[in-house]
Amino acid sequence: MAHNIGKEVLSFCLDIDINEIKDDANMYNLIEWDSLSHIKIVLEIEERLQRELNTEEIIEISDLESINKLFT
Amino acid sequence: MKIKIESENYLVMPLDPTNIDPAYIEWLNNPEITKYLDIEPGFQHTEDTIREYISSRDNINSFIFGIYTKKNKLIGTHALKYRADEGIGELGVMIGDFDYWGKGVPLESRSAILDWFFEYFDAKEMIAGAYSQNFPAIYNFKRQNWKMYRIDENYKLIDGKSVDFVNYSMSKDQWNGA
Repeated sequence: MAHNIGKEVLSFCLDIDINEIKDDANMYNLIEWDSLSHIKIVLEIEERLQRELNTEEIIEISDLESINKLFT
Repeated sequence: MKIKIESENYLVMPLDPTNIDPAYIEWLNNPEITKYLDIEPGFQHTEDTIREYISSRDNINSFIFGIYTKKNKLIGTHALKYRADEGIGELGVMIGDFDYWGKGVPLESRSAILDWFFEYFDAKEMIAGAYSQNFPAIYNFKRQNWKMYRIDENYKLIDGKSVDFVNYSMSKDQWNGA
């Protein structure tokens, strides 16, 4: 379930079909993941968690795995 | 010799205090652009204060670099101070032109500066940082594989909210191996 949340976040924020997001998706291999879409990603995670992320969490966000970790 | 650092799409050169771009004055008076910079809130910059600011850099160990497109349009700045006794540089970036936000300008221009910096000064490390709520800046440090070495908690109030300052470093070895 958590795995899908990360893909949902990336799909929504980057406007990519969820089925096209690979398990190793990250800020290096997704061309749509730039500095401005990164704002959307952080805010979308906060919205779904219904809390603000702390600094340690914010600076770790770089790939699907780090996003999913926030939802476990 | 005037320093001129070139990347694929941009030129990075010291700003000229005798020829101040009006856009630069606008940027430094725009809270949306300056809220994550070390500028006193409410301070109104003028051509004179900016001339003084640029002139305070000796262009030997401290610089205000302009980031220019290849068509010579100023779109932002990098501020660099080199502490020669420690072999450490401090770098800060500002992209003033909104049209160039999200275009990877800090990544490309900073890469060119790092290449130049480590060779020109034979320095050992560059340090820089960003406020925790400045998500694009945090993205850029992560994207460029900078190492986070310290978080200064509750560093500043921004929009009424206490935010941390995240400190990053890039060593010469790390950069050359990147």
